Amino acid sequence: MTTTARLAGAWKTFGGVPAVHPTSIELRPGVVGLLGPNGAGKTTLLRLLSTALAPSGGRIEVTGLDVTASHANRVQARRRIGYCPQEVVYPRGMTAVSFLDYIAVLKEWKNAASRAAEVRRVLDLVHLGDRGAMKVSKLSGGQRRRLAIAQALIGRPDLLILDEPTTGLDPEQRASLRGLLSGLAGTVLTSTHQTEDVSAMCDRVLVIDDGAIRFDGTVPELIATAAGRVHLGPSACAGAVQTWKTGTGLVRSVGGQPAPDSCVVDPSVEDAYLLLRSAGRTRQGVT
Amino acid sequence: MSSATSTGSTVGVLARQEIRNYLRHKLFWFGAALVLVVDVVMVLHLDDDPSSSGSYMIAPAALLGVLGVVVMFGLTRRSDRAAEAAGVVAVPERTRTLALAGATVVPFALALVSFVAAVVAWNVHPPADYVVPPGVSDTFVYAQMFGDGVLCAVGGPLLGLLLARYLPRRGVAAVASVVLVLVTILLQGGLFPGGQPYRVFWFRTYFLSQSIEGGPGQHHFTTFPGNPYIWIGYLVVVCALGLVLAVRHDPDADRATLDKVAGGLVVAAVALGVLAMTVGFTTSIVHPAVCPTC
Repeated sequence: MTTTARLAGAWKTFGGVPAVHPTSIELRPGVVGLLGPNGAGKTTLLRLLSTALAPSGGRIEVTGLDVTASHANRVQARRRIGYCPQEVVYPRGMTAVSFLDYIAVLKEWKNAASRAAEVRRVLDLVHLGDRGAMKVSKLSGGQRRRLAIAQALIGRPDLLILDEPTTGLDPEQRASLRGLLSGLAGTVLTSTHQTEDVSAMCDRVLVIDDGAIRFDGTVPELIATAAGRVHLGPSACAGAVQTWKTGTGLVRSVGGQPAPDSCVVDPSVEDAYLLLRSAGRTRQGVT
Repeated sequence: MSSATSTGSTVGVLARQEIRNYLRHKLFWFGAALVLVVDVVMVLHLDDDPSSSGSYMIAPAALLGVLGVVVMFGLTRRSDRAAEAAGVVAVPERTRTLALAGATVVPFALALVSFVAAVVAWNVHPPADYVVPPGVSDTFVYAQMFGDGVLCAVGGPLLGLLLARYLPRRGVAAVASVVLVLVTILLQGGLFPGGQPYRVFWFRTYFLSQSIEGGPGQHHFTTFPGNPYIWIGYLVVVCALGLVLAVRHDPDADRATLDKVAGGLVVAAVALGVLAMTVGFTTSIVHPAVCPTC
């Protein structure tokens, strides 16, 4: 399978503080989920891949172009990247259509007719086809988020990078977005805090913590790391990473020593993620 | 990425969008409506102004130029926000800057209409005999009209573009507009008798005004020192310098080349500015006839 993007020992520091340690990963067609706590380096990693941010060192390739080598390569790569930032401040006074039309021009859609058709296509993809004439300021938070995703979809990019795209979406909209992303032909890299999104649509998952990739594998492989370590019982397991009382009245414990009368249950992506995080904190000496 | 059928250059397509955005801006419409009203008053000579259309180009300067600072500042911020919303795009900032600069064709065209109207009014309703001092030609008057009105109508929006590039903060355009007006008032000919040649560096400069010396009933029309023909060249170069500096803001721009161009324009601006102060009328020319209506 062809490689869409590659980080080869790429790293980034801000004022001498490392945000992303030297990282080497390859992205191929499919949906890749990026999990990590706040401040782990998810957005920095996405911005590096999107060419919005230059690395402090190392090499980044997008569709075979070394974007760290020249500005011309960066521009060429940007033609094949769709990026949805985490926070979008919309220009004042624009309608959904005029906003997307402007972005389409910035993405070099010069022909008015084909541009209009493309804008209609991406609006329909995010189910905003009937909201095109509305001012962006009149759209709901979820609709604005979908509009941000729509702009990233303009031009059917080979590499689609989404920074927490499901923030502000209701369950139905999230399910709809999953359907959309899983149906795309190219490579999708999406950061999220929603572990159920990862288990529902991702072919591969990366877990980043403290600027370093802690896990890189498939969803079943991630879940397998927690096998036998999640218990359900009348009381919490000693030393558990997280415990909570479920709706049945039993306590679910992630990690720790199995309590008497507790039984092992199938772990979820979230369980595996929590255990990975716990291991990371232990490595850093944080309790 | 699928191919986007190419029609014209990106800067051309973007410039057409920015022209439409400029035309839709409410503040532009406010200014344009008032300018057109002033044009009608001027051409029909409804106010019986003895100086004909000699002072009317203040309308496009203020209503298209000064308000244009705010209009263009807003359009530039809007363009920036759209680009930021997309995260990364192939079209660089400098292309957007050039497209925004292209939108100044809107105030330019309207100010040009006002200028033509002013020239027509000057000929259809000539100024009173006591207005234009001896030795001052019609082309001298037209030159100051063009610089005062048409070039200020373009220069204001370009200033807004430059401010949005380097000082993209709320209220900057409004403050700049107020400063422009205040300095222009301070540099009026009559209020600056000792150093009149030197005020020609300013973007809107009075060349023809009433002298306030002599008390009531003793006023004379006066032509102030300076050369409005060279001053036009100076204004054009200053506008070009503003555009180059705005383009230079793009971190991916060829700054070495742009710095050389900017340097050349600074030299040209200084040379033309000095020439505008020193060539032509070096002292005020006071019309010998007293203004009976002043």
